[in-house]
Amino acid sequence: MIAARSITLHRGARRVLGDVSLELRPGELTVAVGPNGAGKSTLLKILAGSLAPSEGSVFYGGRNVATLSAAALARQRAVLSQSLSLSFPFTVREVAELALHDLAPASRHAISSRALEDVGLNGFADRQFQQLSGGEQQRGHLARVLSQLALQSEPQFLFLDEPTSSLDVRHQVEVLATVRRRISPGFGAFVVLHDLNLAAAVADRILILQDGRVMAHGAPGSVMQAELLSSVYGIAMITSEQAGRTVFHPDSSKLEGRTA
Amino acid sequence: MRRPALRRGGAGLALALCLAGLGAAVAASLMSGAVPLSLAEVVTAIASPADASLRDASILWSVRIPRTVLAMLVGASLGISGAVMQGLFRNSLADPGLTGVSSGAALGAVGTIVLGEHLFGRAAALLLPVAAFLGGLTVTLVLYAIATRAGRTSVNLMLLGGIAMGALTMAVTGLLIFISSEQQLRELTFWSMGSLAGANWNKIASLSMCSSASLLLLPPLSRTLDRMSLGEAEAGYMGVNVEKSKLAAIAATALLTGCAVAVSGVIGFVGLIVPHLLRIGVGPAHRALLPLSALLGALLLLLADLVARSIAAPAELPIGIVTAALGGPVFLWMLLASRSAEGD
Repeated sequence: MIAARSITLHRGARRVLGDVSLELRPGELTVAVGPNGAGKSTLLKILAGSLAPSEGSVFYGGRNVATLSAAALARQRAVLSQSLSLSFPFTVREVAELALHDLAPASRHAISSRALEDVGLNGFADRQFQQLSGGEQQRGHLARVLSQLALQSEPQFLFLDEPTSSLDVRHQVEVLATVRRRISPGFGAFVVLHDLNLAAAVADRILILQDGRVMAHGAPGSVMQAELLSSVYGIAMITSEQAGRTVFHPDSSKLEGRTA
Repeated sequence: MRRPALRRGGAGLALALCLAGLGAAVAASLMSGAVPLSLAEVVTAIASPADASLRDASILWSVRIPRTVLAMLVGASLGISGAVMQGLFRNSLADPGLTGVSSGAALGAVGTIVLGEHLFGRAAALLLPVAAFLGGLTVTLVLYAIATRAGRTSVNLMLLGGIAMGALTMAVTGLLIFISSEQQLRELTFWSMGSLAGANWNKIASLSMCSSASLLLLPPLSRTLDRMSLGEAEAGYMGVNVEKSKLAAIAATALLTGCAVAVSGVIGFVGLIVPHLLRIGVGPAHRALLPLSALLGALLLLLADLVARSIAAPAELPIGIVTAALGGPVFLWMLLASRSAEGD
């Protein structure tokens, strides 16, 4: 279990996160939503152990994350960051195997092949990574992160910061389905998303952040309320029922000024 | 661009080509000079010195062999330090020259030549290599202190700081040259454009010690540099102790470049071009790139020295002129090629 206790982060005079406490359990997929600048990515970095909070601590199975080495942390969690750039012309397979240097070539190959298949990039292994499209690169990085998980022992956690931002609708669903399939009693995930309906569909728990504060945290059915979302995003949210599911739309009447 | 076939066999092929090229270049380097020797004479003088003429043996053992070995050691050191720097800075335009290591080392050397006799008397000559090494190391450490905050180094700050430090050390070097005497000036020109003419076994011994010390740092670095190509944060997520690895990379580079400058002066472009060319042939993975950079660097510098010795014989060009004349155009060509590959 990963536990964050009273996390506060100041940048200069600005408070980016204020008194956030949170538990991530294996077997659960937690999705963080909230407007731009709410502190979602910052919280992800703190939970992943790459950013130290100004106050409060993060514990991995009872051990303070500040006392864990980079190598020890890399065996307990994998992280997919938001925007990444690769500086040299590695192939897709070389990227997928970056975290696997310590293994024999045959096992590296088996692990990366499976991960590339998971993200729908089988057949791309020998292509140059930098020449893939933005969405393909995003999936390639997910394959790298999934490969790293193969090194780990349970419980393990996956942190994904907007993993669907460059993806078309089909791949958005497929990538989240890949992550969802992995959720098990030994595996948990923390995902930052912007799409509220995808969030509601995939999450076990949803965390709504605004201005660095937790506005709500719980099962999608209980926290995803039009009134709360309208206030958090500052735009009226409309709900409708489709196939037994509540769907959220922002009020888009402002866009309907066309004179057609 | 698909080139897996080239990439897969690339490392083995590149290794074979470099070794064959080195063999040929070593033979040419030992045979050519003011007194031309045949391959048979060279082999005899090395394999059974007793059967060779005293003149041949003496030319080979006291002049040509030290010079050839030194050229290879300097080239290998510059090639590796360039490859490590580029991996560290995630930029194929980075090299020891850009980060101020070379100019810091040159300042140490020039300072010793101009002021050393006033300060240290006859010991100055002995201090020169040490001063060059310390100059390179000082620049690197100052730069590291500037660019590092709260345990994290900004690559941008370090590159821009390197340009600033380079300008500063060049200014001081220029000032020293301005106040130097006529005789010192000749020595300085020689130094600032590089030469292997002073090769001897002492220089080889000191450079070998530096090189082997830094070679120990390289195998663990090769895997961390691959991961660093996604940036420091991602490397950290994949288990790399980023600060420790950066420090090791900086130490290895300062040691290799500083010692190379100390024995041969400033020789540019080897560290820039060698890794860049190799990446085209064998891909960017550092496990192959670092050792091959040593071999190709050795080959390139040996060839450059052959040109420097023979093009204006019996006079000898500073080798830095040759590497710059070869390297500048090749580098421009690579820039243009990479621009069109990116499609803009």
